[in-house]
Parts: sequence; C-alpha cells; structure tokens
Amino acid sequence: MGALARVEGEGAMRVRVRNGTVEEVALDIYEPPRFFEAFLRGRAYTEPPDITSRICGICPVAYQTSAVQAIEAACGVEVDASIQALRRLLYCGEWIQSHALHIYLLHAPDFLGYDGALELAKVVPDVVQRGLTLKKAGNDVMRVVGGRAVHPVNMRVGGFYRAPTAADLEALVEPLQRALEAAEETVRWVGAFTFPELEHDHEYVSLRHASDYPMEAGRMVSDRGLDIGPDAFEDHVEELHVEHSNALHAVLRGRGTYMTGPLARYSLNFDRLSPRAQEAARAAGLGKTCRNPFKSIVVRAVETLYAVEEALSLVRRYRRPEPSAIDVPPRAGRGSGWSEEPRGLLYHRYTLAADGAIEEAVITPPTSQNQRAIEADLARFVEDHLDLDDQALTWQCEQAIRNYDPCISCATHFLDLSVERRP
Amino acid sequence: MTKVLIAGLGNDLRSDDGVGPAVALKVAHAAGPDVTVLVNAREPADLIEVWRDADVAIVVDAMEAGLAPGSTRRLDAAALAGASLPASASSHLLPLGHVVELARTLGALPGRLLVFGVQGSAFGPGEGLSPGVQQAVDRVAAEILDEIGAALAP
Repeated sequence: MGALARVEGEGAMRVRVRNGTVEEVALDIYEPPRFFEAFLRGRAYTEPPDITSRICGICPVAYQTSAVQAIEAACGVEVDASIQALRRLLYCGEWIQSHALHIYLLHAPDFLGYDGALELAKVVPDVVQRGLTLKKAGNDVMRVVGGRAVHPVNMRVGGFYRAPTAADLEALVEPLQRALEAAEETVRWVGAFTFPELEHDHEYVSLRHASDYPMEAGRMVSDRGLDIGPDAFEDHVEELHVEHSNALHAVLRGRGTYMTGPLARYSLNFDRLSPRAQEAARAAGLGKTCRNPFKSIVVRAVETLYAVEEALSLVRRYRRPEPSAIDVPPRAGRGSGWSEEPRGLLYHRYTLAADGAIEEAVITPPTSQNQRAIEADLARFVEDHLDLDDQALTWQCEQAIRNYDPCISCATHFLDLSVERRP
Repeated sequence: MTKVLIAGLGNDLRSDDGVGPAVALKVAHAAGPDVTVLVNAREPADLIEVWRDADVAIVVDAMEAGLAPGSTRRLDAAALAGASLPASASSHLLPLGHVVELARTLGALPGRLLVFGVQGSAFGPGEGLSPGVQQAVDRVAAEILDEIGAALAP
C-alpha cells in the first residue's frame, strides 16, 4: 500500500476477556502470498526471483535468494563459492537496511516514550541521523551488488546478470567503515533501554551453517532437536487455516508452535557471531540466548553489527565470479530453498515441468510461521495490562507487536483493536 | 545544474498501488537524462537520503482520501506539514507524511518538494490499474513533466 493510503483495520487484533482472564487473542495482520503462488503458476522458471522480490519492499533480497536456491535445486545445479559469497554480501545489505529502519525509525521511539521517529528526531537528531547513515550503508551495498537500492534487479537463477568489479566494491569500504562505528554505537544505545519482563518458551527455529552466522545458507535446526535440509521442510512444517484470519498458521508437525527470527537465530547461533559482535552483545547485557521479545531490538542491533563486519570482510575477500552466472538448463523436478530474512526463515518450493514452466509454487514467510507464537505472547502481555482502557491497550499492543517486525504487506497505521470484556 | 528527482512510490502488483510506479515510468521515458527517476520506490524512508542531493523532488503515490478514483491531489512540503499525521507509525514502514517531517527536522528536505497523490479504488493483490486511475496516469505524468521543464529552464 502506498504510504499516503491508509486503510483502517488492515491489521486487526481481537481480544476476548472473560472474568478478568484473556480467553483469546486473535491477530489478523498478515496476508499470505497465495496471490503470488497462483501468479507464478505457468510462468518460466527464470521469473520467480523478480516477481517474488516485489512481494515486500523491505526484503526483496530474501525473496530472490530463497527463490533462486529453490529453482537451482530443482534443476540440479549448484553455484560456485564466488557467486554464493556475492549473494551473502547482498544479503548483508538487506539486513543492515532493514534492521536499521526497524531499530531507529520504528522500534526505539517506543522504548524512549516518543510517539515516533519524528518526535525522537526533534530531541536527538544526531541519533536518528546515525540510524539513517547505517541504513544508507545497507542501501549502498544493495545498489552496487543488487543493481538498484530499492528493488534489486541483478540477481538471477544461476548467479548475477553482472558481477560488480573490484573497484565497484572498493567504493563500499568507506561507508561500511563508518557504518561499523554507527553499528557498535547502536548496540550500546539500545542495550541501555529498559525492557518489560516477558519471557517465552517457544521452540526456537533457525538456519545453522557449519561456520557462518546464518543468512543465505544452512540447515534448519531447533533448540529441541530438529535438524533438517530444505527438502524436508514440508514434512515437518504444516500450515493450518485458522477461522479468525486469512493468514495461515504454521506449526511443527507433532510439536506445535515455534518461532523463527532474530531471537531464535541469535540463540541458536551465538557461537557463529564474530568476536566483536559477541563482545558487543555481552556488553549490552545479552546472554548467549535471549527469550524476551522486547530485547529483540538489542539482538537486531548485534546482527546489524555482524552484517556490517561481514560485508566488509566479503568486500575485502572479493573474487569476481567468472562467468557471473552459470548455465541452468531446465528439467522436470522439484526444489526447495530457504534463507534468513531479517524477520525469520523464508521458504520457497517450486515444481517445474521439463521445459521449466512452473507447475507449483509454495512460499512460507516468517510471519506465517510466527503468528501463533506472537498471539501467545500477546495473550500474556494483554493479561498483564487489562487495567488499561482500550486506547491505551491498543498503543501498548502496537508496541508489543513491533517486537516481531511482522510482515504487514499493505497496512500503514495498522492496528484495529477490539476488546470484548465480559464478566 | 538543477538536480531533479522523481520517485514513484508503490507496488505494481497491488492494483492501484501501482499508480506511482506507472506515472514514474512514463516520466522516465519522456524526461531527459538530467532527471533521476526512481520508478519502484517501496520504502518511503529511503527517500530522505536521496532528497538530500536534490534541488527539486517530486513523489507520486496512491492515496486513500475518500475521493472519486483517479482524483489527484498536489501537495507541497508546507501542505504536507499541515496534514494530520497518525499517532504512531506502522509496524513495518514509515508513512510518507512522517518521512517528509523527518527530513525537514534533519535538514534534508530538497529546495522544492511536491507530492502527487492519486486516489485508488482497489489495493488487493493483482496487476493493472482500475480505469479511473489509469486515466490519471497521463494527466499526472504531463503535470510532472511541466514541473521538470520549469525546474530546468535556464
């Protein structure tokens, strides 16, 4: 939805209270990508990276990455390490810009008692400018590697249309070095906020890689023993239709609610962070795991620091892929791919005909996977705040929902809260 | 040389939300090489950093203002300042009105900023503009090209 257009009630949250107890919290904030799955049917296997990247203005790279990896798997090809490294660099850019946007312009004002980024900027313009500088470094990476800052067009099945030259990437060093300082300062800044007490016990799920903090690659693991490759995703994750919502709720078969996203990623991969990011996390008061959703802002800041360091390291080690893309002949088959969008695991699966036409597309984004966990957390949060009137409760709930940075593909001022209070 | 930046905000796979990109594309084809056009701007906050370097910036966006589909509104930065802003930002994006005010606070507004809003009627997933909105595309593009002409006139 364009930014001028505001449609009330795009996001809805219904709370049913009986006798002072929360009986149900139903959240309807998310529209599943069913339109895109249908839109992709019959199209060429080369088209999903571009089409699915238009689902979300914030995380186009995640959609491209999951799509190309699924299609390459279906066609039985693997790209080489130099192409994989360039994908990871582009992914770093997306993490930096998405996390910086969320931390500075959306989430931090809640903790500091401001209505929004504008009020924050009036009091501490330098701080907001630091956030924008950080965000811009991410956009710079996306522009140089991805082709365009806002809607990258350079990634394709098999690699890139054009690989940047070493000189192109050299131009990123200076902004990334400045971003490194800004990112470290960001961790210190948000680490000093005051956080409401709330701990959840959801099963944490994220990718895990042999050596790196997970972005574009890894196996899907959980803190309760899950460990699978992409082909097994649909055997383990079930998407349920729920009555109150047009969204699908994903659960782990036989296990139930789970959570993906920064908290899970961090808690399952602390040992994969750089020493500098680990140290910043400790200094900001985080342990090796984090189960307080309000502290997700600190985890995002730590991940931003990591992504800036990683981007710098990838730029310095850059080996230009030759050729910039490998040939990917179509074949009949089925392939799955995934990656860690800033807000959690994004899964794609494509079934192709022999000529490469798409017979079936399945897209499972993080918000559909997290919907149940978010509702469960909110039910506890609302229960602790039932003394508030509906207006104050709406405001608090909007803040609580921001912890999860959910995909709300077209809502702006988003929450239409209805509370049914019965004796 | 006056630096002119045009941005079409919106998503062309969300029906009338694609009007910003549709207008920007038309302008991109007609405007000279001295004009920078962002056809598919999706994230309003990104405009702040590009506005910094512009003398004249024009944004086209779909709007929901309770008017007939295809109706247009033309707002300058001062008019946007008068518009009432919602109490809180979305969970995911910062509304354009907020972004303009934020840019103003940070001293990043271009010398001249114009926003064209086009009333949409359908915002569900899908390709193509509804008829009233489609008709507005040429009209708004022509107005923007006039503005560009005026800005670049010696």
